[in-house]
Amino acid sequence: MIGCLNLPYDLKRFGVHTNQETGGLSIKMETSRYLASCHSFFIYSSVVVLIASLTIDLIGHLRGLATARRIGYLGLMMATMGMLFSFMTGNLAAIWAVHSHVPQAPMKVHESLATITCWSLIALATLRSALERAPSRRLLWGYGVSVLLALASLWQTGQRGFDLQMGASEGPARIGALDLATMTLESTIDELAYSESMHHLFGWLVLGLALLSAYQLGSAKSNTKLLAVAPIVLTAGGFFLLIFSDVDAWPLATDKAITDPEVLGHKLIATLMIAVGIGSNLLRKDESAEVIEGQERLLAVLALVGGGLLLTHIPTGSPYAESTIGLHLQHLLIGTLALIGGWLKFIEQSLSKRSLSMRTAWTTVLFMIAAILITYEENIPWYLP
Amino acid sequence: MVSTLSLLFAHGADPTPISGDEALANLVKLAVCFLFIAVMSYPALSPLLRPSKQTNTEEPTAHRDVVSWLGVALLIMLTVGWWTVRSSVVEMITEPAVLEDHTHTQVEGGQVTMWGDFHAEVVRVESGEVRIYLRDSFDRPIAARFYDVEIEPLLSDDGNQTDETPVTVETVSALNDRFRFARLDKSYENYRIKVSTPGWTTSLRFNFDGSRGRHSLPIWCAPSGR
Repeated sequence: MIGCLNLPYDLKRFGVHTNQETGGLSIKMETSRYLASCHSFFIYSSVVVLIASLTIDLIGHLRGLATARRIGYLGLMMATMGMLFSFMTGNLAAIWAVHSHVPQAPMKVHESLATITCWSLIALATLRSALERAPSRRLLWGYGVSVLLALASLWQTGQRGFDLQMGASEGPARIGALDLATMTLESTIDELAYSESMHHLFGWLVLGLALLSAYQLGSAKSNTKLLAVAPIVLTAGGFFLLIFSDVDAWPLATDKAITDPEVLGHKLIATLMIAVGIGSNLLRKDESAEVIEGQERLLAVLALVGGGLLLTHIPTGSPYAESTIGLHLQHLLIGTLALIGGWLKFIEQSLSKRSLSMRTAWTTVLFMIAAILITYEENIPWYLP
Repeated sequence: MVSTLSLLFAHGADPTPISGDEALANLVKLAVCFLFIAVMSYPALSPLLRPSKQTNTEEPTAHRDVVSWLGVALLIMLTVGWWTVRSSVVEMITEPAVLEDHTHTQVEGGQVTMWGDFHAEVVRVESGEVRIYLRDSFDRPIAARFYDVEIEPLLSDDGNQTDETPVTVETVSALNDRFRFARLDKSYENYRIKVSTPGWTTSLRFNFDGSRGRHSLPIWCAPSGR
C-alpha cells in the first residue's frame, strides 16, 4: 500500500533547482513526498479498522458483551485517529498532485467530503464516549443514525478519491488558468513573519500552562491563586486570537471571508479557548468541584479538539507553495502531540488511582508543544534532516 | 446587498464563491467542534449546572453566577465584534470592490488578449524586448515557470525587414518569475506568439503599429523599476 500514490514530481515546479547547494532541501521535500505516498495506506487501514470495530461494537450491544463493546470503542478511536492522519497526508499528496498537473476542482470536492467524513467520525467518537458514560436508548438511536451518515460520507469520499487516482494515472490533463494562478500564490515575507510571530506568542502561552502543570505536579497543596492563571491565559489568548488571527478578515468583507476554511479554523479555536477559559474559571467558584482535575480535563478537551483542527487544517492563502509543505509537517507533529496529550489525560482521569507517570507525560507533552511553537518556522521545520 | 452577502461567502485561494460541499464541510466542522467540547467537558462542568442548596439567602447561587459570567462574556464578544466589523462612512456609501471575472485590463501597458480562462498581456519595449505576462480570468498572475512562450517576428506591412529571416525565438523567465521575455531587433513590430500551458498550446498574433493605431494600441515603454 505504501507508495501506491506514485506521482511524478519535479522540484523545478516549486522553483527549486537541484544543485549541490539545495541538495539538503530536496531531502526535506522527500519527507513530504513519502508522507504523501502514505495517504492510501492510512485510508485503507482506517476503513478496515472502522468497519471491524463498528461490527464488533454492534455485536457487543446486541449480545450484551462488555468486552466486545470496549474493543469496538477503542477500535473506533483508532480509526478516527487514522482518518485524521490520512487527511493530513492527503493535504501533502494534494500539493504534489497539483504540481503534477492533476486538476484542482475535483480535489477540492474530495477535500470537502474528507472534512465531512473526518468530523463525522469525531462526532461518532464523541457520541460513543457519551454512550459509554450514560447509556440511553435515544442516544443509541442517534449514534446509529450518525454511523450511517458517516459511512455514507466515507463512501462518497472514497469514490471521489478513486476517480482522482484514475484521472491521475491517465496522465497530465489540460490545466486551466485558475489552477495555474492558484499554484502561483505565495505568501509575502510580511505575512510569513506575522504568522511565525503569532505561533511564537502562543508557544509562550503553552509554556506558561506547562510550567503551571509542572508546579501542580510537584506541589502537595494547590495554590488557589494559581488556579486563576489557566483561565485568564486561555480567555485572554482566545480573545487575542479571535481579533488578530487573519487581520485581513476584519471587518467582514470580501478580502478574506470568514467562511474561508483557514479563517474559520482560527476563529473556531479562538472561540473554544474562550469557552474553555470561562469554564475553567467557573470551576474555581464551586467548592464541591475538584478544580485542578476539572481544569486539566477542560485543557485536555481543548487539546483533542485543537489536534483535530490542526490535522484537518486547510491552508488557503498559498495552498500549494513550498512553505505550505513545512506548515503541514509542523501541524502534523503538533496535532499528533496534542491528541496524545489529550488522550493521556483522559485515560489518567478514568483510572481509579491518579498516575504520576501519566501526569508527568501530560506535562512533558505540553513542554514539547511549547518548544515546537516557540521555534515555529513558515518553512520546512528545523528538526527535519 | 446580495452581492455583498455572496462575496462574504467567497473563499480561500480562488475568488469564486464558496461551493455547497465546502459550505457543508464548514458547517459540519463547526457543529462537531462544539458538540465535542460540550459532551467531553460535561463531567467537569456538571457540578456547576446542578442547582445548589442555598444556606444563606444573601449568597448568589452557582446557577446565577454561571449566567452572569456568560452574560459578561457575551457582552465582551459583542462589543469586540462590533468594533471589528465597523465600517467607515465611505465604506458604507460606496459599492464594495468586486473582483470581476473576465475583465480585460492592461496592467503592464501592453496589449491584452484572452483564450479560455487565460489572459495574456504582451508588452513591446522600445529596446525591442518583448515581454509576455500570463494571468487568469480574475487577473491573478501566473508564474513564468508554469508556461512557455516562443516568439516569431513577422514581416511588417511596408515590407521593411532585414535580409535574414528571423527564426522562432525562445523566451526566458524573468528573475522574479513574473513574465517571460526575449530580446529582438527593434525593427520588428509584429509577432506571432506561441504560448504553451500544461495540456494547451495557443498561437496569438500581435501588431504593434505604434501611432498609426489601425490595428492595435500604442506602444508603451515598460514602467521603470520593474
